[in-house]
Amino acid sequence: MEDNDILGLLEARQYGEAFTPVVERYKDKVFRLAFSIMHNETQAEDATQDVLVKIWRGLPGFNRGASLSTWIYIITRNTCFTEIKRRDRHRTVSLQEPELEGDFIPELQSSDPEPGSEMDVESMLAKLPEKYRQVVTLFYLEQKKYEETAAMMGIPLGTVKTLLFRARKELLRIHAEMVRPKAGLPRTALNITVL
Amino acid sequence: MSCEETELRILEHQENQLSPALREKMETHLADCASCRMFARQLQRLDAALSAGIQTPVLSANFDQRLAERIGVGSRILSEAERAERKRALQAEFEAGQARLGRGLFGLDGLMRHLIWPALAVVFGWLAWQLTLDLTTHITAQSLGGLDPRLLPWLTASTVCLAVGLVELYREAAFLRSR
Repeated sequence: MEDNDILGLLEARQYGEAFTPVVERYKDKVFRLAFSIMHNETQAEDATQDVLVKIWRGLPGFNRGASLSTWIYIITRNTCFTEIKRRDRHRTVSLQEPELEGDFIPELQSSDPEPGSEMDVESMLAKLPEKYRQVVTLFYLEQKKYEETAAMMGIPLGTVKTLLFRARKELLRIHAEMVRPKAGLPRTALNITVL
Repeated sequence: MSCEETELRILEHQENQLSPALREKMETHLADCASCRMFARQLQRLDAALSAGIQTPVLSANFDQRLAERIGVGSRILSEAERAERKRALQAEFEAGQARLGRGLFGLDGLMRHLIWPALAVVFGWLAWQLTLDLTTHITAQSLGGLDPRLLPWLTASTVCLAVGLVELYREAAFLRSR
């Protein structure tokens, strides 16, 4: 059933009939969007439940002139970000946590190990800044569809492309850092050595 | 094509989104520039690693059941016909309750509960009215100027009681007619 059919049911105030196809059509997309934001399957599934309950309650008040998918994605993002804020308020940060971001900036050289063969994608994504991490995760979960990724994130298509390009460059930098962590030196130290 | 432009357009090239003219320029540059060629190869390998490494999460098998329980409609969403049937059942239950309530109203308990206060008010009003008649006789015999001011509160109270009794009686009669 397409969105227009669902909107027809909503127009006829058949909310029960409309909700079933909404769930079938959007539950996986909502789950993937939630996962790209929360990076945890259990939390993403709980958020998906919350989102669908909100949709169920909100169907009678849905603005018929609006886009159903846009409405659902907005609810999803708001629910996830609210949950993340709630968890952050209760999170304890260890003072012993090592600093991940230093000023070590390795350059790509022809002698660098070939990326791809031994890439630990999970570790690399964990080191990626959040603004890139979500778009990369969602882009690949959505089978590399730019338009779908933009619609789900609620940002322009051009912004998605820019973020993805910068994210890939950053991932290459992270990978280079991971495969030869002791070969490079911080730039300040390197300068001292040269002098 | 410069290295900077190549870097900016390398993804479009890999996704076959460049025009034929730009594509030719890109391939010419890649053939000549080892640095850009390596960058393109690294991006391709990164893309392959991300495609393989980012696994699509799967919802739990009981996801739909949990959702149905949370929205409180049992194991699935009710259809319009089922909702109409549920509404009819609730209406029938409501009407049966009303009928039981009606039978109670016409029983002794109901009769006493609904008539005792108006009846008492009427009786009290009647007694007060009798007092008023006596007062009228008294006034007639003694003339208005002869009315004892101490009787005025009794006269007012009796009138009020009579009015309250009549109003309550009217309300109860209207309620019983509506049943």
